[in-house]
Amino acid sequence: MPSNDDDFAAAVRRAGVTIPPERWDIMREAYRSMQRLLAVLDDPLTYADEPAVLPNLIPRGRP
Amino acid sequence: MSAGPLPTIAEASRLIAAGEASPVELAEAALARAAALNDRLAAFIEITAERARAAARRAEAEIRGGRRRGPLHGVPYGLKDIYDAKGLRTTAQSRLLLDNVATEDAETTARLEAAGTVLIGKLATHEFATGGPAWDLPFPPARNPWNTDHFTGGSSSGSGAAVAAGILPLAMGSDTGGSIRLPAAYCGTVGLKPTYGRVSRRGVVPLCFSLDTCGPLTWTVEDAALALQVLAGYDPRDPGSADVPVPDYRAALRQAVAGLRVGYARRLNEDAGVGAEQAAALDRAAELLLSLGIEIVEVDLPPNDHFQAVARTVSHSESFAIHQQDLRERPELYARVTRERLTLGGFVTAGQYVRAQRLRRILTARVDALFDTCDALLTAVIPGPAPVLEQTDQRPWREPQPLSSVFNVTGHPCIAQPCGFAANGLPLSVQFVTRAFDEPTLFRVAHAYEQAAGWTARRPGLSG
Repeated sequence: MPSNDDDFAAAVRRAGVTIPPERWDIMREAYRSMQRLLAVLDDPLTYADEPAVLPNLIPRGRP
Repeated sequence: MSAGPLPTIAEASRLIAAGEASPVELAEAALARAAALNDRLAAFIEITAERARAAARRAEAEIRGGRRRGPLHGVPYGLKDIYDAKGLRTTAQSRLLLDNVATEDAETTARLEAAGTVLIGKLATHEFATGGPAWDLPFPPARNPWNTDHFTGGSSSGSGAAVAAGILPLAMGSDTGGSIRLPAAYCGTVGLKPTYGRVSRRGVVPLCFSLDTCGPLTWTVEDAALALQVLAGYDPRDPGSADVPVPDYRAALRQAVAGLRVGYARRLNEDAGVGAEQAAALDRAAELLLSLGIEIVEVDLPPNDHFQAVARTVSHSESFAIHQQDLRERPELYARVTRERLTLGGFVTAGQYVRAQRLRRILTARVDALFDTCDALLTAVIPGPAPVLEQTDQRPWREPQPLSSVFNVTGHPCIAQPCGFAANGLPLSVQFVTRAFDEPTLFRVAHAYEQAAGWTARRPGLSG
């Protein structure tokens, strides 16, 4: 985890939003918490694991 | 009509058919109860009294003329204020949409109107069906009828409050991560999240295209079945709508449940931080099903944090994509909590979004496989009774993560319904889940449990 604000500041710039100074630390902590949860998305996937798309959310076995 | 809670849809329908109540009497009773309770509950953003009276008079004339449309004809209902109703404002509880007057009915509104229902008003929500209860908005947050110091759950907060308070027998909600089932659970009502694609979302303010699901909150499972009968069906103007036949939902209520097999996801409780009171209530629900001849087997779902990572990545990304321009150009118009939670979606990378959709397919397949050996699943939907409203989490990132979004990720239909009460008198809730488009089995199990448990006899102690 970076020890400074660089990654968060870059994410804010990329999003194109403005964070008021008094909310900066709170939003940075929220960003870090989100990235901790999303770390499971880095688990390995196979080439065959394609994204879900809407029609295929309808599983097999319609009653 | 008495001044107490309105009858259920099924009871109102029976009373109308027997000539013992009229649509005008029902509408007047709903309007009177709304007027008496709304200052305390803040369930309604707008009460549409004149429109309701006109609709009730039309329904009454049609029924007297022998042109009864069905069981919902003349029944009062409400719309979460993200649903369009032609000629009325759809504000989404936001300053950004204060002047947004609908020029057309949402598909769901049109279906309810065609069934002859009587719209009583537009109901409170969390801003844009996200964020949380906020005090820096044009409308106050709704309050829980069981104890007005407590949270209703959200985002269909007014819908939960109005049904629990007996103002309405039917209110529409929307569920992206639990927003029908959470207010149902905290307010002690039934909340149905149909299969993704079962009910049209056209004309409903979107939050997250690939998770949003429209559905009803009612007092009983039978009423949810009656409502879905009207709401379900293919809509070619909704890209997520599924062209799947609509079965007879009420018929499913009469089918026996002995011999069915229900998978109890008990370990999800521990994984998701469910409290002792709620966990014990779920155990008792499983025991009651067992006494009805239902086989109970323990099943394991994938880890909750996998579901939460997918749900949060997808919902934050898609909602940011919807609100990006307003967040950049006029962020001050949002409530602080809405603005900050929506902003988090701007920090998700494209790679994370695509990987979340890949994991979503894997998780859906793993849950789907459970239905090879189970007819339904039993899980928690809330960790415990409703918290105090002023103590709800107002931070941009909620900890712990809600466990209700598991079946938004997979798209399976699920229903939340009461399964007891905590020591402080607030409702506890159980959730049943079935295969995609198998709402009949969902109603069958949920109705059998409801009839055996008897929790619907207990109402909030409101006067008015």
